[in-house]
Amino acid sequence: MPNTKALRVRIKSVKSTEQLTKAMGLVASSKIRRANEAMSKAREYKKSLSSAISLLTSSPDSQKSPYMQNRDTGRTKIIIIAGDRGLAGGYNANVFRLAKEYPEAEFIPIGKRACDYFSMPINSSEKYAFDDAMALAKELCNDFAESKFDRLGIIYTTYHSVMTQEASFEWLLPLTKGEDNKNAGMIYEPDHLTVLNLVVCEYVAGMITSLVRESFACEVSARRMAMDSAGKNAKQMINDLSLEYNRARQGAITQEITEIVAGAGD
Amino acid sequence: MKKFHLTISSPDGNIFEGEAYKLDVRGVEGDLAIMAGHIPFVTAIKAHPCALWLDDETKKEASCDGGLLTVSSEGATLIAGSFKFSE
Repeated sequence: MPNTKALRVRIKSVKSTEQLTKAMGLVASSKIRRANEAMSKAREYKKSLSSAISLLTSSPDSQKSPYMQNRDTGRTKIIIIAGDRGLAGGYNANVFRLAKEYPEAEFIPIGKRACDYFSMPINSSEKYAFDDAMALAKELCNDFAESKFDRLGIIYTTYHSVMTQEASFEWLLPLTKGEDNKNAGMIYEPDHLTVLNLVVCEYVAGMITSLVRESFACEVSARRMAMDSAGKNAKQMINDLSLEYNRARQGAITQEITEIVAGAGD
Repeated sequence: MKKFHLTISSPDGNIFEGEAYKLDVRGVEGDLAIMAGHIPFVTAIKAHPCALWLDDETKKEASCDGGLLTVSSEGATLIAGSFKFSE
């Protein structure tokens, strides 16, 4: 016969887990709206930035820029954006799984989980500001221009909906030739190459910032979904355990009555 | 008074999107003003206070930490890392 005391303890423990998942789900829900707003704003900025870079890189002059040189000596740096906390379903695991496809690369983590994973100084993806991205972009652009590495990529999570997020990869440097054909008659001050070289840092920083914001929106959505299903599982478990507990309790009572009746009959 | 379409974009979204009369900024080669009918033009801009004229009397001052200014026949776009209008 199952031990009723052990069942009681288990029910209590599952109930406290349910409360915890409910609280984490509520915190994630409250952050979703703000995170989604920040993501859509950052997407607008990313779109403007990408079309400006496409315009600048479409001209033949731009091929002379150090940021458009394709070198292939295998020195790759990859910025990896993960979450600040766990309990977000497969959000962090998917990002790290994608990172394993680039075993030779040197990783630059953003987000506490990524910093822990790569044993680097901690930074927060939730509080990552444009200034932080600019400082990182300046350092990376200088190193790239000095040929200290050949390619710069970024691993982030693409937001499709509250239910669906996908770990993605994109190359940031070297820049690829744009297909914009609005160049005719355009005047560049002081000249095409100088403008391109001046805005590359801005472009890299802007891409990092907007992808960090998109990834954060994915993190809170993934956490809400994970906590919702954990809450449902906990509820189901409590029901099953309660049923088992009641059966055990009832069995004990029945047995006791049977024993008393048997004793009285003697 | 002719106006032009202006979009000011930063990581905080489109800070301004609409018709403007004039935009004063500091480019890498010096101060410049964009008005309606400006030739197609691209320049990097420096971190400096700038001014947006909605008409010839309404001026909004702002701080900008540098970026890229693109002027085409469809309008002007200023992409900045940070752009904040003064209170």
